[in-house]
Amino acid sequence: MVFAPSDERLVKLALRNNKDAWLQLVKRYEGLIYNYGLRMLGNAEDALDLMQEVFFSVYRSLSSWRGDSSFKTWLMTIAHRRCVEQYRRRREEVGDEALAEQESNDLWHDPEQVFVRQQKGLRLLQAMQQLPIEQRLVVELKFFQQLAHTDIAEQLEIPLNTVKSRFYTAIEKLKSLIEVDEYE
Amino acid sequence: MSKQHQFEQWLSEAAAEVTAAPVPEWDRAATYRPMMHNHQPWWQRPWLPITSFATSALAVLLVVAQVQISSDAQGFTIQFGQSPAAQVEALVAAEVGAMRDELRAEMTAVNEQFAEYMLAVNRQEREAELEDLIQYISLLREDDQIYFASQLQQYAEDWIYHVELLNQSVQ
Repeated sequence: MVFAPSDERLVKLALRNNKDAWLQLVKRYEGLIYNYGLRMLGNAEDALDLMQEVFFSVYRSLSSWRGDSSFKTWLMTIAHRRCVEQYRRRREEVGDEALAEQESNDLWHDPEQVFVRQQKGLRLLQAMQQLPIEQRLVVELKFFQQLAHTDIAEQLEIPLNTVKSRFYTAIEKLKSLIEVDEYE
Repeated sequence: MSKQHQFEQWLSEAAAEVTAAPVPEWDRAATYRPMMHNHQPWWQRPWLPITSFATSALAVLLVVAQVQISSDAQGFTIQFGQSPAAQVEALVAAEVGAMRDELRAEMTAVNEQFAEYMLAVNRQEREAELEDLIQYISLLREDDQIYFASQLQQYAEDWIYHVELLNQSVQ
């Protein structure tokens, strides 16, 4: 990996119609996007759809990436937008109740399907599915991607105070969802 | 540690337990399309700004290099820099200009000297003429005095003569 080409180099090559460079870039970040999709949308099918849609979008707007932020940050900004769009589209298609039912049947409720070995992680993922998408996004960035509040604000392109407000509201909800004696 | 921080710590630990799921096989190549901007039709390519820039650059180059294009019976001639005739013209113009300036400076100096000389000469002449006039007036006054004296003497002698004649006739 020491000699692996940088993201900037791969983007430049991809812009010159180098297919291998683009595929290398996709392989580098597909795990990040897929697992993000799993945690945010709760099932493998939607996560796969989201991943494809994100890479389609990224490739289409690849020439507009100016390097102001890192490629990963830019990629994740696009992923957040596509994720929220996909979530809302799904909600419009199936309705709030059906979506809630679907979420309760998602893969986090079937431990055989998922790669969560420990009970704590599973409880967190199940509780996350019950948060509104905006709060779920902040929890995802804070605890799974270990970003500071300022970085979350930058990545989601929202004010810092909004991030804090969503974060503390989400924490309160998670606290009520996860039994107190489970974490004490 | 407050309950809030304790819970956040618990959430961090819970998140760390979640291992990444492997990505299922999918068609990565489907996301790839050759970039369209390399296949722009000719009318969408930026000809106008490029042509404009090239023309401006050429114009600047022609001015800087002093390019001259002339036509005569033999055909067209393109010259870079000044032609020999233009160089001679420029030299002559410079020389004439220098001479004109020099002559003007000399003329100014001569005029100043002449003006000073004329003023000095006029002053001396006026002094001499004044002296002559004073001398003349002095002489004139002397003559007048002599004349009036002789006239007075004449009158006096005539009067004495007439008085003596009267006295003689009375006697």
